Amino acid sequence: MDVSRELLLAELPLPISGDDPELAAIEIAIAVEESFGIRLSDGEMTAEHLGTASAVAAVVARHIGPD
Amino acid sequence: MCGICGVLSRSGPPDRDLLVRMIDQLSHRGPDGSGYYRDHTVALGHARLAIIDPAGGAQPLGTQDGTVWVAFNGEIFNYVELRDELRRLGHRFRTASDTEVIVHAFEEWGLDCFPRFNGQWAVALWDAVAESLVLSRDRLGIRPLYVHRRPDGLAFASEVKSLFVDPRITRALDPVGLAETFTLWSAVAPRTVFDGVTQVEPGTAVVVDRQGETVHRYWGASFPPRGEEPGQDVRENEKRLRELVVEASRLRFVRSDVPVGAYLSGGLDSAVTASVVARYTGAPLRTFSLRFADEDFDEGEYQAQMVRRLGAEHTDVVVDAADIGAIFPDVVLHTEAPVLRSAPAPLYLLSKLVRDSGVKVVVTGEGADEVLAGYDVFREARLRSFWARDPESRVRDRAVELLYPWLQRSPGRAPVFARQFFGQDLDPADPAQSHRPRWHATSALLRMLTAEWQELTSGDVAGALVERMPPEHSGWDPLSRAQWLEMTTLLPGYILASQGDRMLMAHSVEGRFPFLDRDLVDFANQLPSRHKLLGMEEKYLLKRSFADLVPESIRRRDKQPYRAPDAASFFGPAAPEWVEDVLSPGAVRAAGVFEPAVAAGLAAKASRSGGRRMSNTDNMRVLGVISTQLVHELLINGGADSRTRTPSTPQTVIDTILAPQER
Repeated sequence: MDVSRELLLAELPLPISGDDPELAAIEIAIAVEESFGIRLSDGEMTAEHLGTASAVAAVVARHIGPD
Repeated sequence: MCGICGVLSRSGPPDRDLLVRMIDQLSHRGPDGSGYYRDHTVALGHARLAIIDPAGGAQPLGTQDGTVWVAFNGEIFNYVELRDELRRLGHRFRTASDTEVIVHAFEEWGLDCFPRFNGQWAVALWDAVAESLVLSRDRLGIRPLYVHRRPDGLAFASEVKSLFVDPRITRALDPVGLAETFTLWSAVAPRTVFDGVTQVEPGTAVVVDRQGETVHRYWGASFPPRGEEPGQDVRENEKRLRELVVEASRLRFVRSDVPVGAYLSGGLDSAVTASVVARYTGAPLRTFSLRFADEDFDEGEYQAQMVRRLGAEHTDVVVDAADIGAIFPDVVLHTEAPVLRSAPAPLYLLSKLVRDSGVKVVVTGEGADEVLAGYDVFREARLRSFWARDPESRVRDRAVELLYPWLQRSPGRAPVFARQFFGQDLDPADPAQSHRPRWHATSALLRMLTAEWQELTSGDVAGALVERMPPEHSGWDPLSRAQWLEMTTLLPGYILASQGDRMLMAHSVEGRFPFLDRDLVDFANQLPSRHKLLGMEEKYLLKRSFADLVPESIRRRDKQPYRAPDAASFFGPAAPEWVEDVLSPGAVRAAGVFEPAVAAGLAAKASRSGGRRMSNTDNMRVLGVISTQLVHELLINGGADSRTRTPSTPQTVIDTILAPQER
């Protein structure tokens, strides 16, 4: 996929908000897996790993390498 | 908007009296006048709803030399631009109508005229020199066109009841059409639920001449390979989508010589279209809404917000289950097909309200859910794909709460529900993965049929549909495949037909749908799927594009599917008397479609609960049985034939057979 990672990350509703951060992280996980064609582990589907743009960028980098 | 009909006869001139009766069956589609053209081979009939050029647009209309004739139902919204182009090419116009543009465009470009049209149409063009009849429908099937073939030619009409005027037509249900309806929610063009009656496929032109019949496809829903979508910048796409929606709405609002109103459902799509068109009128916009007495279905609060925001001159109609039950036979007479929801009925009452208010054109938000991914079927498919990537995950089960937030209030039920939800149709290689659960649930209706009909309907209609998908679908995004299925089945077969054209035209009201604009649909189909469905957020780009025009309360509210009371409309204290008749063992046996004991068991179950608190499947069963029985009674048995009035006298007559004094 010849699409800028920065462009994709900018579209995500980050940082996550609301009173159920675990569910919000799952929602981000769905978008991240769809957009980047990766599969996240249960351990990665947390607010800590998917709660901010920089955290998501780090998770994505672990799966498909640095930008 | 209008009704059209006609006959091609190679064995002698078409019967004039039959044609006039065919036109008369369409008078609700066109109460403002009627006319016909007839020569030794062809007859074209027309019932007119005058909207553009009321004084000069009578039909059928022909070229000055009388070689090409047209009967046309619909609107060509870019007719002004096409007329300018044709004038530059030397064509001269006698009227200000879009109908005349069709004739000249066909003269100039032949079948290549259709891709140039941006509109909604069903059209019959007769080239008397080439002895060639062309029947065409718009890209997505907004306007209907049915055909009955016979050895010496064919008959066509906007509605089946017009074809059924001919006593030579044997009226019977088509088993495969019924199987499609009881699986995919509607028959898939070119098939219908009637044996021997087909429909012109959306996006095609059928040419019938001395050499035979040829189908030309000028448009089909097409998507780029996943990851190769041309526009990836969300800001650019957001801006372009807004431009296209604004232009599509503007064209559908200003290109009319009669006042145009707007529907307001309380949801995002109609809020967008109403907000846009309101900018093109100095007077308050006329808006119309459907409300429900049952607050589970009512969206009045959101409608009121938009009315205040727009300063609209607003009217609504409040509908309850008894209203639906009372009018349902009339509704089915217009849908001309079994329906699995009562939802068309309130729309029938809404179009009556519009017409009674003196408005005969409305702009609505129809099509946005299909084109920009608003339906739950898309979100459900994405969730199942997410879960299927790691079925052993202890986290992914919770994703179902994103679709069904009530599960958060019932944590005990969530794991069971999730296992049921995720426990089927997970094969990512299945191109119809998105729709399998719906089709499986719906096909429960087939088990209610008699043994004979179960045998007749036992073919794999879902498999046949998948076989029709374009070969390049394997490279598409899963969302694109789901959209193709939706644009091929539910949109033309149910949303635009049973809930759309038929309910509007029952009261002579024309619907206009900006989200089904040619340029907008082609643009949307090229978008990356995440710009339509970002994660689980539906219609993501549309919300971004109109963040300033639509209040956040409407943009951010959970999507409420349009539903109406189903089984409760036919059972309980206000049950209409006719229900007992159509579900009586004698009536069920006479129709021969459903196993009488099974139908009786369902009716007894519904009676016990007053039609309330029934499962989704049981509601579908009730609607499927009742509407099929009504189709049989009214259209197959001819129960509606007695409603036929004395044929009116056509005002526009071009008859090369009759002597002048006879016309």
